[in-house]
Amino acid sequence: MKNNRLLHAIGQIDDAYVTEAVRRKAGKTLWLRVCAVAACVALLVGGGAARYNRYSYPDLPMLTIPEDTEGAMGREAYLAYSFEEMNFHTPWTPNSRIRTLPVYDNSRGVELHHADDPTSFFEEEAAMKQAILEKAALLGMDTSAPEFQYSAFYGYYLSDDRYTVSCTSDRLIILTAMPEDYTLDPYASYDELYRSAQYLLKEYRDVIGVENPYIEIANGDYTIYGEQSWTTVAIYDQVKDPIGVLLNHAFHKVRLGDWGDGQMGISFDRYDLSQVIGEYPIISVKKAQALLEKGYYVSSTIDPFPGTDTIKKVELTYHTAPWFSTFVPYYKFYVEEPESAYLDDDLPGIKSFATYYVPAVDSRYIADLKLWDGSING
Amino acid sequence: MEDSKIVTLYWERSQRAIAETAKKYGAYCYRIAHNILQSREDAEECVNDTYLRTWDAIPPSRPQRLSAFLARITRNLSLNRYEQRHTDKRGHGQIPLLLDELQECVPDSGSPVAEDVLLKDLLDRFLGSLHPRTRSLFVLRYWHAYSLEEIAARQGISRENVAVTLFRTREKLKNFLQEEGVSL
Repeated sequence: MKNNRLLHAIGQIDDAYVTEAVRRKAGKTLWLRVCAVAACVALLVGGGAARYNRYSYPDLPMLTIPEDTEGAMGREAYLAYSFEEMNFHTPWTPNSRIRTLPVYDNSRGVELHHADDPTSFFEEEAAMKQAILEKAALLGMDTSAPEFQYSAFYGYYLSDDRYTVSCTSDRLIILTAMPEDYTLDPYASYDELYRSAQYLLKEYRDVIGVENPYIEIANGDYTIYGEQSWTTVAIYDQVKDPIGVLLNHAFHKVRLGDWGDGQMGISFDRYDLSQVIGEYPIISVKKAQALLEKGYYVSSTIDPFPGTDTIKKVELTYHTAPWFSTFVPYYKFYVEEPESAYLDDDLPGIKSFATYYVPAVDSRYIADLKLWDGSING
Repeated sequence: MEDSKIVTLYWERSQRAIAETAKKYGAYCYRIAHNILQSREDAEECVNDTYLRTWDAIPPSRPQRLSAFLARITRNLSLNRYEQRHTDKRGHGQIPLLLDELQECVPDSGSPVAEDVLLKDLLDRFLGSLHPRTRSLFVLRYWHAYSLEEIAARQGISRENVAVTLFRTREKLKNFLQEEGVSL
């Protein structure tokens, strides 16, 4: 029974060790396998390729694909009766003809995100307070003698009887009462949400600060209880430049959300894009699909990629989270899963759609292009 | 959905909290339960019970790592169910193997650790002294109940390498507990 006690006691160890174990990836062996294949290809192509590289590919730092260290075990998959009833909006199309995209260094963002007390970073404290004051002024709040408060959950915040404007290192949020006759409940219909977003955009145009707004009502997948939910209601600036609009969609979305108790939130991501590592050549969709088929992808699903005929959609986007050390563009493939442990018997006919990410940056610049290793490696 | 938002949903007593938890962490919890129970039906029940326990626990809890919080509940529920199922006989799957292996870590002498919390602290200290890679192997085996083959595939090393590393780590744990003068 002593061993049984030990087995139970191990269950109480520090959370950090539990998440660390799951997020640690296959290392050397698989990577060596990738290197070996790459070396063979290099030998086969020979000197011609070297010359071609020399003149066609800019000299840029090698990149490491960031690990999803916090959402490591979160599965990105969507339940629906058909893929078409959902909406995964992207401003990108295969005709966008994007040849290069910037890659950003977010090490400062990671440092702030993991800091026990981000306010200990003096500059960040000033920046957060300044961001709050700017929005507060646009909302007509009295900013003459601001009395900031602080909570670990919301960061700094400023309140009056109508608004609360809060700011962390990752995000600025405005909370206020949800106007009557409108809703941001994700279980409302697409049309109701669109109408509400239109109204809020009109009401808060200056605060939202987007010149050519595009309203995005996205997802529309089902919960395990069979309710359809539109979990993204967002606005972004639909500039004409294909790269600009892709960056706006990835990094500068203004999200509208139902915060419960009759409150709504207008949320602004605070990604710092000032540290550009470089403008990297982007591979074609066709090439990305070939990599996907060979197993060079990251995914938060347990099952291996089930085959080309299961691909429902592909988009070019950035995989972003405040704790990613770099922001790298990916081709994101939506795939219909052949079977899933989470296809509930209570929802006959429901299908599951998982996502697989292939780095869109040319593989020459990726130091750790990984083969799927049989784990949840998202 | 971000973890902090899911936790907020629990605090707001919104049913969406469970739906969002299931969506994001259902597969992870199922994997742990299945590793222990080796039965789809039992594993699904444990995952559903995990949601109910979480609903009861938040508030007052506000977990910093929601994934580990859920996983711990699933593990405890699954181990309890395993023990109920196998009170009179040795079960199958990984647990009997884990128990055999952990028997090697039990010190021959020393004063029994009375409090579970002291044992937890000792284990945290021991794990903190290991190389992260070794620690991950240990946690994947004895926390998540992965088979040696699965661990080898995940870590990109051979099964033998996993087995040898775990053997040495068990020896180290036994020595560590002995040096601390404690038994179980």
